[in-house]
Amino acid sequence: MALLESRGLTVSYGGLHANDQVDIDITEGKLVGLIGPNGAGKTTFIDAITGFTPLSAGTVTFDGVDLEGKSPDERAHLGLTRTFQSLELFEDLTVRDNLMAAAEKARWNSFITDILMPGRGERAYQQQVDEALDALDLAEHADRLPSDMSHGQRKLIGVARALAARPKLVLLDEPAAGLDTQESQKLGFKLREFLSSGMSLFLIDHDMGLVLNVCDYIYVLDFGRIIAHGTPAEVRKDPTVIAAYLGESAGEAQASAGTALNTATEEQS
Amino acid sequence: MSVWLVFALLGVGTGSLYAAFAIAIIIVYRGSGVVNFAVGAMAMIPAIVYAELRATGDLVLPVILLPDRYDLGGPWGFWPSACIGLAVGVVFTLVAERLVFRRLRGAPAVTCLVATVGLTVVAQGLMVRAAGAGTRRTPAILPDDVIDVFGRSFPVDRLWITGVVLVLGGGIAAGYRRTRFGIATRAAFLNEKGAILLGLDPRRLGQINWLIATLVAGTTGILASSMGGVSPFNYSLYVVPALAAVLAARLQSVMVAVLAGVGIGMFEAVTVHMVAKGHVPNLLQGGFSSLVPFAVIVVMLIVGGRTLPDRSFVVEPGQRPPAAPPRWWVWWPVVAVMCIMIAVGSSPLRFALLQTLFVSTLLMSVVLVTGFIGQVSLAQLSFAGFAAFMLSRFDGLGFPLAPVTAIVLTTVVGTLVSIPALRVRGVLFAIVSFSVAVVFDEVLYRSPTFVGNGGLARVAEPRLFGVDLGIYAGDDFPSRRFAFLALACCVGCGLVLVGLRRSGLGRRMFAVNSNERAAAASGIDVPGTKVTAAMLASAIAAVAGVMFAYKAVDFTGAGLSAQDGLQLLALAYIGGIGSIGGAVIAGCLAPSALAGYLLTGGGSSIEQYLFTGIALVIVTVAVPGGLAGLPDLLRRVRQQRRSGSLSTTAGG
Ligand SMILES: Nc1ncnc2c1ncn2[C@@H]1O[C@H](COP(=O)(O)OP(=O)(O)OP(=O)(O)O)[C@@H](O)[C@H]1O
Ligand SMILES: [Mg+2]
Repeated sequence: MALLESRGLTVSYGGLHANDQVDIDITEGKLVGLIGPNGAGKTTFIDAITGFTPLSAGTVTFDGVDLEGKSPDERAHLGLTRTFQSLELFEDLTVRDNLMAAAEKARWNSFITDILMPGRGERAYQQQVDEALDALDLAEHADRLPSDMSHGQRKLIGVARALAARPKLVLLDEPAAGLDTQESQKLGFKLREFLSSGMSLFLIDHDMGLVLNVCDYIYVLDFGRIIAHGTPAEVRKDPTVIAAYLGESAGEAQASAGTALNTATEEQS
Repeated sequence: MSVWLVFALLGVGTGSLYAAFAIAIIIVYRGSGVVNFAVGAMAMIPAIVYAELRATGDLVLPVILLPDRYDLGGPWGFWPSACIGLAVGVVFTLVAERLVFRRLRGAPAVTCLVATVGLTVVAQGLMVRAAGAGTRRTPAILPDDVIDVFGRSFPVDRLWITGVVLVLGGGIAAGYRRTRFGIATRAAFLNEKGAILLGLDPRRLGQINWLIATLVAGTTGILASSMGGVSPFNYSLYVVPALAAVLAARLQSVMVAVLAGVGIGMFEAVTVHMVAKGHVPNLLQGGFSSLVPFAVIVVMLIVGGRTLPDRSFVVEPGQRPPAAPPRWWVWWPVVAVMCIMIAVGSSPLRFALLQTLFVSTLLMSVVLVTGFIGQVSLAQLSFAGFAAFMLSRFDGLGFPLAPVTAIVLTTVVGTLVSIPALRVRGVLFAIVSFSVAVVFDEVLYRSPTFVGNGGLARVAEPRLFGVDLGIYAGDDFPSRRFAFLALACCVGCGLVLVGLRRSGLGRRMFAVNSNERAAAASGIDVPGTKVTAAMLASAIAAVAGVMFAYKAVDFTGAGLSAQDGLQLLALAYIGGIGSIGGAVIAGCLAPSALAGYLLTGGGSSIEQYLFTGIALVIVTVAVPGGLAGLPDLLRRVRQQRRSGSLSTTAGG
């Protein structure tokens, strides 16, 4: 059984089916990708899985638990975290505190211990946060405010925050958008590293080079429906995908650029 | 049946006022995105100018530094007085729009709202200075015959004013739908950038909308001055029912708002009749009718609200600049100075210090809800008042037990009140909390069961192991023992806040404040965090309330009203809403507190009230961190200038 399974997942906004009967499996320890043109419903899928938008039909199970009726924070505690396409950082907190806020698990009585002995429960989470900061090369910026940092770094803070709680599965919504090719490649390497530390990942991105090269398995969404799925090689050849999405020559170019990266990754490992 | 109908009809007069204010609020909101608390003040200025011209022939102006009263010869008639009144109102609005709201374009909606609170305080202060605080009635303007309805006499002017407001509402609704200007306003509201590309000037549109709103509010204000009278303060209380009507119209439809406003007025009149008939439990007899707008607001917000904002919700930048880590060692000298003041200070100095301690403690609760978790609360003073009255109610239990009971009860009430408010945030939260304050003010502080007859409450002196800790203990009033006790309470609350700020819970509160969606995605229980914050804040407010009661010994609801709550929020913003230092600075600046004593020799005056309003407006426009944030702001500016000059030298 896969770590996360969606069955017949449907999300309607008024008459519009933003997601229509979507079945997606995310296998443990794998990096699963979701691609599709603008407005295909990719973010909607993440919103639905993480409890930010209600399902019209269908079920989602995560780690054997039916997610129905669970609030976003409960899902996060189960080990399901996400990043946002629009970043949504805690702008008033330092980078470290952004991660700390996500890493700490509050208990009902923690407000009393927090007030009486501030900082006591923190040590347990410090290490976790430091690891996440190191993983994304943010350690030296830990005490800065996100608003003082570059767009690329802000993207990484979002990813680090999602990693800080040591989740089982991280859903990444366009983490490479706005990064240059080099930064994006670097992110790709990092994602593969996280997998080896026992985490599973789900990646949405428009950067074909990134998606086709780092993912183990890919789903293609168009107008809210899954139109194809398979390994990167299969998806790249799939005629429906080419028609819907990769048809443009730009896509082709990106895909072949990605092949080069792929071989590079293999050589490294 | 017919009796109820007559009472409902009697309510259409007040209802029309609410409706007119609601129209003005919607116009300003659609025109510039500001939820305008100052609509009452915008109606009050023309009405008082008009009333003075008719009564004495003097022109009074809401100005400082210039003479505010000019003799224009004998009493004037209706038309010249009304025109001059409206002209004064228009100029006031133009200046305010220019100096304040134009600079606040793009600022968080809550900041704009707070600025309108400041504007209200300024307008009230100026008019009290110019014309006095009393209520004045003007000669009838509309036909005021009395007719017979179901055997009861009924003044027809109520129907006339309703007619006027209905026509006004209909005309405005049609105008905004048909005319080029109305369509342009709508376009700019829905998509400001797009409107600019089309060659529209949103700032100019906003200005014209402010003017139209002033004319609507001012006209109604003048008409109403001949029915219920006008004082610098009374119209501001109509803002709550008007906001209820605005919410019923979902901040959109003028006609729905008009009908809702009139409807609320009718229901209020019916409830007044219910009280008179004894249909209402004794507990609620005070101002039962004020529950009507409150109910409308709560229902509208809960039906329309969401526990988490959705994707389209624009995340507003925080209410304050990034808070510097608390430098708690700064506080030991401050506490030491206060101890010295208590030990050797004169009686008025100690009294001023007590006031500072009370206000600082109370503002710490405001800092918690507003600064930490980001909900602008106008109800904290009401919770303090609740605790004070509870203390007097359970005074028989003896010293430690009675205040503890009062604090626990207040905490429970404060927590319960916060639960329905979980679904609202930002400006809407401020509206709910203000309506809560009005309900406390009108219902509880006047309830015969709750407060006792005449609204006068009394507490016995606190006594522990036979030692009198009360303010009258010993022969030096106010007693030093009591002052030390108050200082200890204030420091205790401060320590709670410092601890909180450095704890995981504090971090979660700041995270919720920054971005609720991201907080939820990071595993933070957003509603739980908000309720915890509300609970702690009401407990701190209750401590302040207990201080208030023991300090006053005999007290009524005076000083605890919704109006005072507005001034409190103003002080909190001036001091700095995000920090404990802000609370203490504001505590010093409060009326009758330390700053007043040291600078002017004590007492509170309308000048101070006015000064608070002006300072609030300046702070919202120019110093978002308040006085406590000033050093940080200056440091940032200096840093920016330095890096700016570096880059220019590097480039040159
Ligand atoms: N809250 C909402 N209400 C109504 N419609 C919505 C809402 N959120 C998304 N939609 C619509 O659902 C569709 C899918 O949107 P979604 O954001 O999921 O697409 P996407 O694949 O993430 O696109 P992009 O690549 O641009 O990020 C779009 O047509 C969008 O307009
Ligand atoms: Mg998207």
